[in-house]
Amino acid sequence: MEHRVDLKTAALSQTSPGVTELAVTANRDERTAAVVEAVLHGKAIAIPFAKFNDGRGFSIAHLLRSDHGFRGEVRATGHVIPDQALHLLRAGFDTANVVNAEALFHWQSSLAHYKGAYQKAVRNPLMQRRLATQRIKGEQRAAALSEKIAKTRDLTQRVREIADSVEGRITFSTSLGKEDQAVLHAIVSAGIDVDVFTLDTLRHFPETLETLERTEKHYGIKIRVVTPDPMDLEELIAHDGEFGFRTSVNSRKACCMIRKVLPLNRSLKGAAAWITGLRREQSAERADVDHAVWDADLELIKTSPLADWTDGELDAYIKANDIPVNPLHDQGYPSIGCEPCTRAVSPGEDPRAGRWWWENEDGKECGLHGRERRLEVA
Amino acid sequence: MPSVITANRLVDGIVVYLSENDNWLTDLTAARVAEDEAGLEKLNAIAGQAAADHIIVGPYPMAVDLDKGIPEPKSVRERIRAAHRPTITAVTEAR
Amino acid sequence: MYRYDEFDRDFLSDRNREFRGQVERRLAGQLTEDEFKPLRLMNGLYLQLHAYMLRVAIPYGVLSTRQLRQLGMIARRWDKGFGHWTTRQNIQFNWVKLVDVPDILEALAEVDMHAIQTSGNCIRNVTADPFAGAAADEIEDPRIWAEILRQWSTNHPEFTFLPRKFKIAITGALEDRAAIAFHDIGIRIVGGPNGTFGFRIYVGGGQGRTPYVAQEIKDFLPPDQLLSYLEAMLRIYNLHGRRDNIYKARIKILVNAIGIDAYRTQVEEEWERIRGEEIDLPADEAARIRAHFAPPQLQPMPVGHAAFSKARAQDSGFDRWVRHNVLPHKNPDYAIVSIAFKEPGRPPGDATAEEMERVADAADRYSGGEVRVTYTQNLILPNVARADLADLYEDLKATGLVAGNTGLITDIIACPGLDYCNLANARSLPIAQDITERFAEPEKAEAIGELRLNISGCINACGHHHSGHIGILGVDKKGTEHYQITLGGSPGDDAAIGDIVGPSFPAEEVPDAIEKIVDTYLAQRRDEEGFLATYARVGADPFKEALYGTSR
Repeated sequence: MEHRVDLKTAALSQTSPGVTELAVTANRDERTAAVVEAVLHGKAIAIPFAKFNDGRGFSIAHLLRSDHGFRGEVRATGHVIPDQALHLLRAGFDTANVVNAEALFHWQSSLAHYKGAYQKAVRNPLMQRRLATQRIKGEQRAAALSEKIAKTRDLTQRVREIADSVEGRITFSTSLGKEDQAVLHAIVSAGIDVDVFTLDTLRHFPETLETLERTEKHYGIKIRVVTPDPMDLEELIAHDGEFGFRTSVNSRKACCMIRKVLPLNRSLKGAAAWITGLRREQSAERADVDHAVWDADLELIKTSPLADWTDGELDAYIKANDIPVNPLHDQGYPSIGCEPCTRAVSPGEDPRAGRWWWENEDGKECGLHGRERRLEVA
Repeated sequence: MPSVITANRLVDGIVVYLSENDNWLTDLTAARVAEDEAGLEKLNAIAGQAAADHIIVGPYPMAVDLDKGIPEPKSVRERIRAAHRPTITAVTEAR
Repeated sequence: MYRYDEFDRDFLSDRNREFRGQVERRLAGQLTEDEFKPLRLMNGLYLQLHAYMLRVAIPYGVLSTRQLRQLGMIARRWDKGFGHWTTRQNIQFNWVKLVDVPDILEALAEVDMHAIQTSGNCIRNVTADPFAGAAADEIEDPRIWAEILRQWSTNHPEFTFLPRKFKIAITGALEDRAAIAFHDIGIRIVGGPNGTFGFRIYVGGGQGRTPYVAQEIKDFLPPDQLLSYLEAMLRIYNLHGRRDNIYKARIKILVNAIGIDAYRTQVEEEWERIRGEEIDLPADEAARIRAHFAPPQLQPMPVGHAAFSKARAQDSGFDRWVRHNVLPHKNPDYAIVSIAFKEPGRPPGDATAEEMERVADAADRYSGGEVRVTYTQNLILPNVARADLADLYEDLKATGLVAGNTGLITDIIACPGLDYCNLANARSLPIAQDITERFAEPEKAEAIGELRLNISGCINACGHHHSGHIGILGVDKKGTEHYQITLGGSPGDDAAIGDIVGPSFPAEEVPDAIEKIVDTYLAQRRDEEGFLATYARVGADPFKEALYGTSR
């Protein structure tokens, strides 16, 4: 019995479409004919290896992808060995025939062997050298900045360090919560050039919007208001209804995605740094927040100048500087999101317990700072 | 033509010869000598098994001269192999 | 020089872990030798005559002293105390055990070195001008581009199972010191308009049993398009190179079978198609690599001419060494110094662990900690202040590495030959030793002047005999070692393949034959005429006459 390993999942392949065979000597016309045949009949294209070290199949697969734009299954048949798994995958193969299912283990370990690759390929499941360069540089710069921020507790000085260390656009996304109000105060006091914006989900508390207006007046600044893409919103409501977020976590996350995450990503595009008001005391998820980290997905330095501030420090700062705050904070709302998804919490409850309170306790992030954003923006 | 079987040992690549009791030894003078085709075939079978058992690599028969029953290599190549060293003074040796 | 970062180190450690697993599977019998061989070759591991041989890459010939000392440590710990500089800027260890190789590779990784793709049918270690960054006649530092090529070719998903091995060399200077004409792809950096530069690309050169001088395929390629052009060249070769006959599988056979113009047409067509695929490096990544090769800050070091002249006058050995082993540097206060591993009797290119350490000491003291290895099997200190030359000479004298014969008849290139190699038909090293001893008198060698003498132990031509002014090829003549002599080959800008002069000689007659050739040259030459010029002018006849008598 012949088996097939799916190179993308490192599991035995379950599908078995028909196959059109393409010789490794195929010229362009023959390749075109095979692609037409495969597309018309939903077939896979099989490239036979007479011997594993006859590497013509790699170029044929590459051409099927890059020249012919073929998107269906490309399969390696004949003599291929597990040690070639990543070469096959990166050259454009989806599957490879294996003689026995026991060999699957070697295919799996071979597929997991490398973290990085130097060159661009048809498929790039590994960290690429050119991106790693950015990441390594970014991590070094972020670590240096983090050290500088930690040296002072003065918030104005901290945001000044960010401005001094970063070349390029600095953005600050404010939720108008008290952390962000404190950070905004420091930004204005420091007199640094920062692109300040807020995400209007179109579901905010009126108090939040009033806070926005009050803040603009108080500081004499303009805060950029970013709204969801109307097309996305239409589609969301058509699919899930106006309150679909209450029916399942997935619907709730889709709502967060369209109202907050995607607009945020658009606003952060091209920025060199992103200032946030994250604090370790806010929740268990945020307990490890660093002052500055390299965000490889957004390709910017994400800073949290309040990371190590205590609740007491924050409140004292707000009071001392007469910073305008959202009145909801005084009504039992430590963390304020959209109106339908936020409730007040009792004293002693987790500060974020009032967000999506009907869901499980763990991982209650909208996706702005969580792991989900990566999957979605990829 | 008298022949012996030689190969390289898998773990370290050292030149070895098929000797008594199916042992693979580095000393050519201890090698088992096949006097005829039938004898050689027998040695070849043992060598094939040793290769399959991942003890040795690339076994092949090699014609030898016999000096009082002791095998001696015929070619320069096999003399160099049997000596386990190059014919020149190495750079580490006094010149 | 290029310094590894986290990415490079991770890659290397992944690679070494993979190979360790492959070695374990081989030892456990889960891989047959047939399956294991291509995998071990791609990690530089051969099974030679006496033992396994590990070929370690010295990318484009650049070594730090830390790396050189580690090579010495490896020679001592896992080999018999020495290594061999190869004819393609590698070092070979002749006596390693398979079971030790994963540990050796780890020791190499500690100093950012590896044996990746030093063998196998893949893109091999890219070689370059050993004087790169220091040469007075340099247009652009080729190391930048060699490193870019090293990264691009490492574990390439498509070009790791080519029809045959694939060698690339690059030079950025006016004089070709990298023998680019004898490579599958040779790259010459040339000046463009307004101070720019580009690449002139040659293809299909090589030695071996069917030697060819590479032909020009591209007159001028802008630098930011190198990778896409090479990718097109390799793809056409991978698809159409012969795989039915190992002797006809190199790209030189394909190019000469279909003709350079037809090959160029196919390459250009493919190149046009893929130019938008972002194969070439983005500018910031190229700049990152370039930054590693920033020229060293050399302090002005005016040489005391009087003292220098006095030292030369007092010591004829030093004087000769300065004449032949000290070469012009782009900074007039500095020099490029060749450390010859070629004194009479030494197997060409063999170096002991201690010598490696002593050269590392000298490089730390006099050359900013940098060493180069040449394809002519010597080491180079690229940045020596002229004011330090006399001190350097004294230091080297203590290790015996002061042969002042770089470029002379005793600066022989030789492969390991039948003393080590499984493929060889005849020994190379004893022939080299005999010839160096015949011309051991320094005055004698110097009187002959520049002369490239190369020896290969078989037709695979690792000893570059085709490109020697005098080439010697070991052949097997009815079970005895014989040596065929060629004349008129050249590795450089006037690249040429030597002509076979006549019937071969048994080993013991070779030194006499070489002496006759040399005497004929000395008798025929006019003024300062070099060997090649004399040979071109008088032809082979006087040499044939000297070797074989008038009857032929």
